[in-house]
Amino acid sequence: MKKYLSSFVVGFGAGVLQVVPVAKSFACCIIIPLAAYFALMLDQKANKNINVIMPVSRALIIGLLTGIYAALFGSFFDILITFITKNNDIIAVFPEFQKMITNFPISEGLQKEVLNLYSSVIDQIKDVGFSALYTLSILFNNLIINLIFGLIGGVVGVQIINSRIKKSNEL
Amino acid sequence: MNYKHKIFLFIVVLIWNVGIYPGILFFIDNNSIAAIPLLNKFYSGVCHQHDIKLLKILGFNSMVCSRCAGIYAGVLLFSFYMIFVKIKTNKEIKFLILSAVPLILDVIFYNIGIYNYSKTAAFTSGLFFGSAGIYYFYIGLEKLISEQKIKEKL
Repeated sequence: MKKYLSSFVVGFGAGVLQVVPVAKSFACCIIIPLAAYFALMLDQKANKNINVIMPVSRALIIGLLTGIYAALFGSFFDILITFITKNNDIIAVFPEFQKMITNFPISEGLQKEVLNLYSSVIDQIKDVGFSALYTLSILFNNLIINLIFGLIGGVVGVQIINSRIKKSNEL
Repeated sequence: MNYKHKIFLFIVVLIWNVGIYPGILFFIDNNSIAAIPLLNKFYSGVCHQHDIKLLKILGFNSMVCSRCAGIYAGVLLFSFYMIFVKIKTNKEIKFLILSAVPLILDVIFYNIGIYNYSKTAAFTSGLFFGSAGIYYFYIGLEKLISEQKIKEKL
């Protein structure tokens, strides 16, 4: 755990940013790769390895862990906010979705099935502030996306850091 | 990286890109339309999905904005190109930073009101950055594989 503390700290920060309305818009696309990059820098500073080339394998693990922590914290905060407010994005877009799906050229049975599924999720959120299906989908969603972007951030970020180290070592 | 790795990555990127355009999914199978809300939620994690910035393909709005669509299109195009090309790991990182310049400039110019939002400009600037980004990702993977080979030898 101590070995990858930087991922935990930065992952927590990224998880928080993922539920902040304006920052949320930039989530993953920018936040997670940047978080992975900062986790790498923090790790170097914490281990006093500022002038040592970092192996890509370590950067990959740090990136992945940052993504996982960000996904777990982000999902936790999302679920917590939904539980407290009994409201979320899905409820807001449901009327529009309902209108949209009735215009689709698909069978009535399928339309009904899809709408029933979403209605049950929305009812559960409105009533108790929690839906198992919503929780699972959020967790699954965040884990996949943050893992991919964390990995990319780690693998690309380490090259930026290593190129800077190489240059400073050459001087 | 061998061909298998590169083809696998290309397929993953292709699936990611197909998911962005529900029109293509609808074209493949009508019933896949039921997955739109799920896809919408999935891609909302990587893009703000503002209505005016979405691309309209085959009668359906894309799941991500023009800029993100450009980034992923660049990733797709370059991951296809990379199948046939040997990766040079000595490329300087400054090209990645340079490729982000048009994207950053487009964001700044649009936000300070020098020009109105242009889907073409957003898509094109994203395309540059996506292409460069995936190239450096491949370089990273190539370095990772050589690191593993050295470890195995020791």
